[in-house]
Amino acid sequence: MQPRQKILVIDDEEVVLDSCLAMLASGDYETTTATDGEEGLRLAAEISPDLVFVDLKMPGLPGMEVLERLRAADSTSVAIVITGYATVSLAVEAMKRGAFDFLPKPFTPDEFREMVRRGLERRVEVLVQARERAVAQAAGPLPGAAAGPMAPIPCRVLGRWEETHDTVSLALDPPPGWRGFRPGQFNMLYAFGIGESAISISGDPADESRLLHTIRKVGKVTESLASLQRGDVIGVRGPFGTPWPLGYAAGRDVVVVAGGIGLAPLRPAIHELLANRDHYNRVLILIGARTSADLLYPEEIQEWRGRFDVDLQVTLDSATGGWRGRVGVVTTLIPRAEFDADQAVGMVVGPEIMMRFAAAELLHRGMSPSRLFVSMERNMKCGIGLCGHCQVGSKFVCRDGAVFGYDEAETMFQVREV
Amino acid sequence: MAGQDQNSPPVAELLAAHPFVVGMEEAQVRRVAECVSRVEQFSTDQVIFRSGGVARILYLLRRGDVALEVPAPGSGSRIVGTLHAGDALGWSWLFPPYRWAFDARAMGPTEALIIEGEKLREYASADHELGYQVVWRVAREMADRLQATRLQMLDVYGERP
Ligand SMILES: Cc1cc2nc3c(=O)[nH]c(=O)nc-3n(C[C@H](O)[C@H](O)[C@H](O)COP(=O)(O)OP(=O)(O)OC[C@H]3O[C@@H](n4cnc5c(N)ncnc54)[C@H](O)[C@@H]3O)c2cc1C
Ligand code: FES
Repeated sequence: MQPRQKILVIDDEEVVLDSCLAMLASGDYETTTATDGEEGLRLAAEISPDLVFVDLKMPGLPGMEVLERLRAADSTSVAIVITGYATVSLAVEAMKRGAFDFLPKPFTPDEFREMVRRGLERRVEVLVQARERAVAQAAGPLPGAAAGPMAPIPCRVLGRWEETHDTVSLALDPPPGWRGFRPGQFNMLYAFGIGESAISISGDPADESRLLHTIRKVGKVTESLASLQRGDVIGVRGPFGTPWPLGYAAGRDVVVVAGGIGLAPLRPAIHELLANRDHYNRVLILIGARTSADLLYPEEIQEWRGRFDVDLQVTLDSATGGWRGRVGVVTTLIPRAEFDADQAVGMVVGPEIMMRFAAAELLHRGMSPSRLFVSMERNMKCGIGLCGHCQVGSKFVCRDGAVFGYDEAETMFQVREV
Repeated sequence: MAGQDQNSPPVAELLAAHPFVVGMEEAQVRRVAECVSRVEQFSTDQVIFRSGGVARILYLLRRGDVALEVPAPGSGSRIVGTLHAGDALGWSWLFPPYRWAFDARAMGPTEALIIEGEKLREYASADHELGYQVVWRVAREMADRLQATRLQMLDVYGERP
């Protein structure tokens, strides 16, 4: 027997929920309802619905964010937006955030059932495509066939320079057919004969001529990647992973907190924030490093600091008398930083211990965990959700992240790697 | 307020605007204001106090940045922390032996309200309500600093998950 298809309806109006339940009663569905976004996301994680209806206008977590997070949690999810004030621009915005379609209120039972039919059809298509992709990947690329996501594409190193005593940046010639990346995404870089590592893309997303990676030498693979020279060839797979929620952050204060190598995965987001500066309210960039010699990208930092529309602070753990900036860990910048915690979005990267303390300070300021995002690091192998290497609880860091909402990440921090 | 009668309203206003007294009752703020002897300006790299010196003053920073330093033979000095506008600088005036533990140096043009520590100590021991308010603030500052120092020692940017 086929399992019943699962439908989740998220709407703050009980009448709407009741009428949806009534309209679906005659079909063979398992229908669940939620009265707000938080509950909806929790239920979605629990039951993996085939189709989700999301009301755009709800108290608490906004519908747009629910959409984005449904998508981030499960790229095969199919969501349809319902709203009382349908406009084209809203519909477009909802589609951008992953909605499949749009249902204006009030709607008739026939209109609703038609939407359900279309949504469930779409779900089947998406699942079939995903399965085909997985089978193709498991079988490995056929000789002569277009390379699948498991096959590294050879790329030439265009440039290499030392950022600090243990960190190097590589500029790569983008692989043929490279279609760009979104800030927060990573590539799997393969040092031939040695092994592969997940490395965030650290350059400007608008610069299509080269692909930048910043690598800290911690072991075999990273040492070997860092010792490559101009003209050498490495294997690249990607881009993988979820992006920073830059669309969602539009119109809000944005607080970027970077510790150590954590500035690398955030730099593309900073480029995008500054390139579209008028889309955001206040932009704060808080950077921590061990010493001034460990600070990444000092020239760019200087440039960003020179902008009147950015509040950039750097703090060091330890400095000599000549340093004119702050001394203390990066978390000490948060209590006095000027942002509106009620609406601000936080993006934090650094070692886990730093992210935990930075998050604690941001939450203490009143930032909602649903507006706080971190990027997680776990050992990876396939990078595409097949091998289970990066699994933490029910999540795969490579596929469901590496950018996660803090409400999710917080539980993952507790789970030790095996 | 010693020798400041003409200026007392502005000094009291400046004090009332400083985070250190936020949450104190008006009468308590007035008592603290009686301990303010002046507003002092420090120029870039001016030493505010030196380690080992007698600690008599609580500095409420209004403007600028201050480095707390330890002299490091051979390599000049090491900054162990920085304080900024809105911070309270120095608590050694509160506890015997009333000696500064670090050097404090203005990192740029800096302005502070100068609070006579001895007088504030006297007021605090005579009026325990006020004493509690003062010591609570100093304790909070110390707790924050201790937490920050622990994180600094943990080397949070070097650690791998
Ligand atoms: C999504 C993602 C993005 C990343 N982005 C970057 C980046 O931009 N730049 C960068 O330098 N590194 C980044 N990393 C970390 C990088 O992948 C690892 O440091 C690398 O795989 C280590 O491989 P290795 O063979 O050099 O070291 P190993 O020999 O595998 O390990 C050496 C030491 O590092 C620790 N370690 C290993 N893997 C990790 C890991 N994933 N995270 C933390 N510690 C680890 C080990 O416990 C060991 O102590 C990222 C990781 C992820 C998951
Ligand atoms: S690395 Fe294989 S599942 Fe994530």
